[in-house]
Order: sequence, then C-alpha cells, then structure tokens
Amino acid sequence: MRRYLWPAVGFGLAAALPFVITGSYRHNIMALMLVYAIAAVGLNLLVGIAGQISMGHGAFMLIGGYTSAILTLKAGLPLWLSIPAAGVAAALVGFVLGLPALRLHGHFLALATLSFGVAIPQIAMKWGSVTGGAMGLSPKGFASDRIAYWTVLGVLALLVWVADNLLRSRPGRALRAVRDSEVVALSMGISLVWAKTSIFALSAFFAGVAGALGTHLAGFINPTDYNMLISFQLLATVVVGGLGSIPGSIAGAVLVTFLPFAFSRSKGWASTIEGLAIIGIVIFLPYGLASLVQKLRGVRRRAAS
Amino acid sequence: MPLLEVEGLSVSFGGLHALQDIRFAVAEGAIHGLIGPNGAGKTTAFNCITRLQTPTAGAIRFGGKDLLKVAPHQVVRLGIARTFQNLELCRNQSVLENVMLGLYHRVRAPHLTYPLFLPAARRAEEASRQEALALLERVGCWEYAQAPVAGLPYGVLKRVEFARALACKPRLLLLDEPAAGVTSGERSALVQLIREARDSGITVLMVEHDISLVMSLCDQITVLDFGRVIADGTPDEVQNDPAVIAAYLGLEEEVDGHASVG
Repeated sequence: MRRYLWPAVGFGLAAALPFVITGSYRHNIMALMLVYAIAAVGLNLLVGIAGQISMGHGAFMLIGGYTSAILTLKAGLPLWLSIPAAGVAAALVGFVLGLPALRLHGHFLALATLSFGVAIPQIAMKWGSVTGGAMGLSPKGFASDRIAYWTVLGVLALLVWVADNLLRSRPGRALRAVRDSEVVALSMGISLVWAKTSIFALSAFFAGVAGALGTHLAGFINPTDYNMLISFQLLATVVVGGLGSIPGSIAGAVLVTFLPFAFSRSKGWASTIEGLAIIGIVIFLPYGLASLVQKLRGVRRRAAS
Repeated sequence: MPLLEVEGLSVSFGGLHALQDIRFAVAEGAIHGLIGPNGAGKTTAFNCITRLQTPTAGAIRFGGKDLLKVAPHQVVRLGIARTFQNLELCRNQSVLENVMLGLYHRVRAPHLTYPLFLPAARRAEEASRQEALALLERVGCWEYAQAPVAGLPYGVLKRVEFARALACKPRLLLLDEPAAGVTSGERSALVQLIREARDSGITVLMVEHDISLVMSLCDQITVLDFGRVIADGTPDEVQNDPAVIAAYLGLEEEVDGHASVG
C-alpha cells in the first residue's frame, strides 16, 4: 500500500487547489495542464518505456476530440461514455497505424508518425460533412471550469494508476526489454510486433482521452487545435519531464502548458523564452524534471557531510 | 532421435560464407560443445538455432519439429533458451526483474488483468517473483536481487544471465561462452551450475574457447573451422583428430617454422 502514499498526497493537494487558486479562467488553464499531462503520460509509455517514437501524437488527440464531439452532438451520448469511446477510437487508429509503422526503426518511424500527424488535420479539414471543416464543432462543455478541472484530475489519477500497474508488472518488463535489447526480448518470447503495437495503441488511447477532455473543456474543436506544434510540444514535455517517469511527465506538462501563459505579456517573446527554458532544462537536467528530486537530495547530503 | 538436428546449414553474407553445409546432432541429456577458432561460425550457428538469423539453406529440427517454420519469439516456448557472448541484460533494471523476464512466456495472467492489477495478475506477479528469487538463490546471487544490474561484477552478471535462461525452463540450453571473462573461482562455480542443469534434465549446447573446460565438461564435441564442420566426436576422438590439431595448432607450426628458418 506504500506505493499509494505519495500519489494520494499529490492528488489530494491537487484536488484542493481550486479553493486556493480561484477564478474560472485559472481553473480552465489548470485543467488544460492536466489534459496535456494525460497525453504526456501516454506518450511517455511509448517513448520513455518502450523506446519507440511518435512525432504525430497530436493527431490522436484530434481523433479523440472529434470522436467525443460527434458522439455527444450527433448521437447524444453523455460525456462519461463519449470520452472513453474517444480513447478507444484513437487506440483503434493507433493499432492500425502501428502495425505497419512499428516495423520501422528510428528515423523512419519518426517520419511515418510525422506524416500521420500532418495528414489527420488535413483529413479533418476536408471531411466537412462530419467534422464541420474549418468551422469546427462546438460540443457542450463542462458545467463549470472547476468541475472540468476535477473531472480531468480524476481521469488523470485513474490513467496514472493504470500506467503504473503496467510498468511494475509483466507488461512493463516486456516493454523495457524491447527498449533495451530487441534480441533479448525475442529470446524471452516477446513478440516485438505485439509489444510495440499494443503500447502504441494504449498510448493513442491516452492521447484520445486527453483530446476529448480538451475539446469539452474548450467547448470547441477545429482541425488546427491539435496540430504538429502540439505533437512536438508533447514530445518536448516527455523529455523535459524525464523519459520513463510518470510524475516527470505530469510536471513537464504543467510547466510546458504554463510557460506560454506566464510570458503572454511579453509580446512575441513568449515562444522564444519557452524554447530557451526547454533547452535550459535539457542541458542542465538531462534526465528531466524527474531527476530534480534526486539532485536536490544529493545536494543536501553533500551539504550535510 | 536426437533433440536437436542441424542439417546442411549454410549462411552467407554477400559473398562471405559464414557457415557452409554444417551438420551435427545434439543428443538429449548431453552436454555438447561447439568449438573452433575465432570466426569459425559458432555464434552464427547459435543465432540460426534461436531464429535470430535465417540461414540461406539447410534445416534445423528440434524434437522433430522444423525450427525454421517457427517465429523468433516462439522459440523459447518450444523449450530453447540461451545466454549471450557479451551479456545482454537490461542494465537499468534490477537483477530480480531481469530474471523475471525469463518467466515471461510461461507465468502469466490474461493481458487485460495487468492494467487493472486484478487478483489474477497479482498472483502471477507473486509467483514470478518467488520463482525468480529461488533461481537467484540456486545460482548464488540471491543477495543481489534488488540491485540494479549496472555496476555489478561481470561474474555475478554471468550467473544472473544463467538464472534468466533457467527461468525459461528450457529443454535445450544454449550457452555462448559461459566462462569467458570470469575468474577461475567463478569459472568452477559456473561449471558446477552447468552440470546441475544437465543433471536436472536440461540438454546443453555450448560455445566455449576454454578448451580444457570443454574437454572436461562435454560428452560430444563438434569442431568448426571457416564455417565447416571439421570434426565431430567424443573429447578423446576430437583431441586426436589431425584436422583439429591443424586448425588449432596451425599457427604454432608456422611460428616453429619461422624459428627454424631464423
């Protein structure tokens, strides 16, 4: 039960946060941070644990967003059904894409997923009869931004629990073996195709759920919402947070989502400062924000001795 | 019927023939040595048997089954496990997790029980942990169970890899240079482990450069040179085979020749 102690403290404090930081606009931004945290945790399973890459994960958010928007608008589904359905839709697309794409390695896989990330927004743009084209869709939002925040936080907690269950058991061992040595993975009876494709699909599920939550949070979706920039931002989040670390991904998402808002008054400089901050973290904390804790402990120990 | 039959196996990389029409058979319950000078094709033969390498020609049968029709990840399920010449362990994982990887194909709960950590998954995890710990005790590495692999001495890691191979519960165990790079004390511990494995019913096929170890441990030896089988027999037969002596001692004869000229 000790594994639940720190996560419980963390999520408990996060749940109390809307009473300390007040205001609808702020709650909306806080919920948005957690939306990206969900997508980042999912991408981290793929990149940090299984050692594969996706340069087009924003597209899965888009697929999830549209799926949930369409299901609620046209089929009248409630959110608690349409959001998981959005995850499943993204996972199915991920499975079908992953089956051929994950036979590729390194740069080739990067290129294949990159093209996917470019193609999906184009399809959403052209397929106006379903997606509303450039005008987008306006599905219903949450009752309030505070409720949105708590909903996203609850979903994040659930999915973090799922991810952690996987990582500490047999599937996690298999994925790390695929990352560390494909020869060992094969010799131990792990099918590379199955392992890579299923983690790609699961990772897409996380992104799909995040996209759906983000869409209802904004009450709107159009093809440019989750574009290549978002795909790159997600990848940066995972690296900044620390490859393979779930708390790192959450911290990374909070930071990377917060930066543009923090510097929004310095006109035109926001993305420059954001970029510099990310470069700074990668240089000074190559193992990401997750390694900050160990680093601080080390400093304290050295100071004590 | 032998447990493993290799027939007419050839592997070429472009114009280079790594293996040419080699054939040998490993009897059930034996410790079989595969020896030869560097570059003779021993590891290539291992890679063919474990399906990491597809031969250009030939057949491999295991327990009468055509191995070349089996996917690489299914080889271990048939009962073939291996160790590697240069250790292949997941460096950032603990020793215990590495050994538990060997149980991947046979101690398992349904896939969907893992994300939710349902009782079936919990039981399978606990069973894996206990079995892996027992194996670590058997190879004398129990005290390292929780230690990360990175930073442990080479001899310990050799035994950890051995434990992982045993965790696969193989009928045939392929050992690629089990004694390379270990101290003499560790070497005798490994010899003991190999004998115990055989006594527990596992057939062993090993590649090894340490000739005295091979001669004392193996029941049958196949000698490769430049991708061909040049001798096959008991240690005594092989030791006195002129082709083997030439392959191994050819260099020394040349040195002698030089000496006499000088």
